[in-house]
Amino acid sequence: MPCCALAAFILGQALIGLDGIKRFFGIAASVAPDNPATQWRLGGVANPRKSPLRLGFRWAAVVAILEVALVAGGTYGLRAHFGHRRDSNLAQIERCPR
Amino acid sequence: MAVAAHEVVQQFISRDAVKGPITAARQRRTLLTYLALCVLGLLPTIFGMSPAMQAAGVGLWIPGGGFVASGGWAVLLFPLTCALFALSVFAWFGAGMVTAPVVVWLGSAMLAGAMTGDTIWVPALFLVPAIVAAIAIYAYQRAGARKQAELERFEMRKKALPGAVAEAIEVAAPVPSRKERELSAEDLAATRYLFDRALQPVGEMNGYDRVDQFQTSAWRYQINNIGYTLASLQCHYAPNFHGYLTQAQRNLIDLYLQKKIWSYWVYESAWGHLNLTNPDPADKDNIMLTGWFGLHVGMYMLNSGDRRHAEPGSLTFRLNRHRAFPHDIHSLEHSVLRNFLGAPFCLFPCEPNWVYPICNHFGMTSMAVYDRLFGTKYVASALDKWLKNLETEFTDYSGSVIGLRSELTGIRFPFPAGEAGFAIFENCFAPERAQRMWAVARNELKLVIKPDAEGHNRIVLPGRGFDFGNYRPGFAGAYASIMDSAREFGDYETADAAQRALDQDCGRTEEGGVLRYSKGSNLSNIIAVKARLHRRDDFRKATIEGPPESALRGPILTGVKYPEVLVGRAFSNGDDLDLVLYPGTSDGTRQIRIERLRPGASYALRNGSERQFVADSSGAADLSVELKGRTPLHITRGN
Repeated sequence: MPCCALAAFILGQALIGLDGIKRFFGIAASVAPDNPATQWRLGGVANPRKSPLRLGFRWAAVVAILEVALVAGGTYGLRAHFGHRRDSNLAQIERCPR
Repeated sequence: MAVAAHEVVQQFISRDAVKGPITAARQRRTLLTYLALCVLGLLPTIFGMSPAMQAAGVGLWIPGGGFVASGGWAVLLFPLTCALFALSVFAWFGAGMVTAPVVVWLGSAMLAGAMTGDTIWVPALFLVPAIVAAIAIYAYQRAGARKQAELERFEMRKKALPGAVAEAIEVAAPVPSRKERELSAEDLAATRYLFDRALQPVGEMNGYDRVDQFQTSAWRYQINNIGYTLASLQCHYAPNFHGYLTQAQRNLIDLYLQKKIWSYWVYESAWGHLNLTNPDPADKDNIMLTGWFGLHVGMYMLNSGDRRHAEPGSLTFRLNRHRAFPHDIHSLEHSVLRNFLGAPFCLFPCEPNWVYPICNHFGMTSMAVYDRLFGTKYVASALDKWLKNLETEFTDYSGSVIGLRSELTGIRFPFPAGEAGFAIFENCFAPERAQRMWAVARNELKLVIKPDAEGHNRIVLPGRGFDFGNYRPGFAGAYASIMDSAREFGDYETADAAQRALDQDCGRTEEGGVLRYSKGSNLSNIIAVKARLHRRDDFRKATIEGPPESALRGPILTGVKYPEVLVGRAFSNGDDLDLVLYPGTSDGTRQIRIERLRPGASYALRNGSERQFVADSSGAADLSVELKGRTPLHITRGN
């Protein structure tokens, strides 16, 4: 086995878990899929079909955008939180003209 | 390599099942560091410091624990931080990002402190330690159960080993003679899978799996494995065929030097070693490059006779127009040796901090090739310490070599690392240990060898499998690896069972003259070709022997077109040349070129009939030959 196997193993577990969810919803094959990379021949076969893994990258992009949105929202929340604490200074409130 | 059963068994039976001293010291250090963190985290509460400091302190006990102390909605950030911490640990061993877990842990503690209001949520002071204690108890019990299971397995192995070793030696086929070596038409169809990939223009990656460049699917492993297979093919079947066989191997080496293959190290040395100035891939750690690529280049040099990579700068890793890291086979192997001798465990890391014994086996084997090439004693200078550390620091209680250990913390991560995978390498530098490992593997593989519908034995593995070459389900890699190891030890019965499983389960397809397994990754397909061509001791011989001297100085076949002419055999005894050719496309007349003949000397080409020809002043001759199916040719000195 090549090295870095544990990382691959854990990533694999995550992917297999994801695959399990996909199978639960009926959107994944239950057997090992054909690998389009193996179809390629020097000066031979036409372009193999696109790897289904690219779909994974698209999903990763969507997840990354969601993460960015969540972090931005969290930062905004923190800002509001600290702002509120500053505003809630009793001395300031007492000095505030009616 | 014939060894006596009693020599193999004794060392294993008398071994002490204990934790290695360096591992124990690292684990103690890790535990003490953690306890110090806990004490530090408790101080703000003991001294009644600000709520922010108290929450940050609780955050030192467990990643995200500070959010529990913050109370309110912030508690929801605790599981999120735990998940993020798990992800950061994954980034740590996936890409050597040592800083990731530290940043998440300390960062979450600081953030919790910043978010805490006028008071902390007091129950957190009991809840967080309770969670930590529960995790510790669970981990302790699990480790204890694992140790117990391993000790029981060790006892079983001790009982079974004498018989298993004797049987493995008894069933082993003899080492085949060079006269018998010839690729069949089916073997040639399998090798075309490799030639197609290796002969495309350097830099193009058609037919390779592309997922990531850090882990097991990385291009570098696919390239190296094609390199090992072609070098072995040259050694055992065609040492006197250069032409496109040599070109393919040189292409792979040139491809490997391209930035896209090795630049993962620029990132890993930055976030793993905090080294932003010198990302030399063959300096510190990175045995997944030096060990693997050193073996690849060394095997090419040994089996082709080409010594160009001994020249300074012949293996230059160019980062950009201004920055390059000039290396050659000497500097690569010197790096492996220097790291072995300098590392605390002797075995040294791939990614910063993570020591994978399997990659260290590649490293030791690469030094064995280097010693054979240049007459050095690199293996001898490191092997005793290396094996002692492997035995004490990287072997579990059952006697199996573990998958990996953190150099920094001493923590071992549970991962099934099979004996068969290690045995094939150890056959090159520690054959008795290798024989023992193979006997253990073979004995345990018997449990998964079952008859198929036609009554022939095949391997049946549970579950859906996992292909390390593309992280998808499937058994192609597992079957191919078992077959490869079985062949190295002459156990053709087990190898045939693996081949049958591969053919039945993995989408065997033959089209356009190329044999492949459509359900396997590219990496698994490559290993399947390697295993198919493998015979007893082939890996050992391709690394520590190489072709005979007569073959290295005799005539060579060079100018043949791929895939018009396929070469099933090319051997020379010094003056002659024995060839078996096949038409790769269609039968007909083909041009071939022979070099390294004696300039001006007469030769005879025999193929049923006999034809005379004379070598030119450079020792070359261009010939036309009629190819129809298997076509044997014999070239000898004429009168």
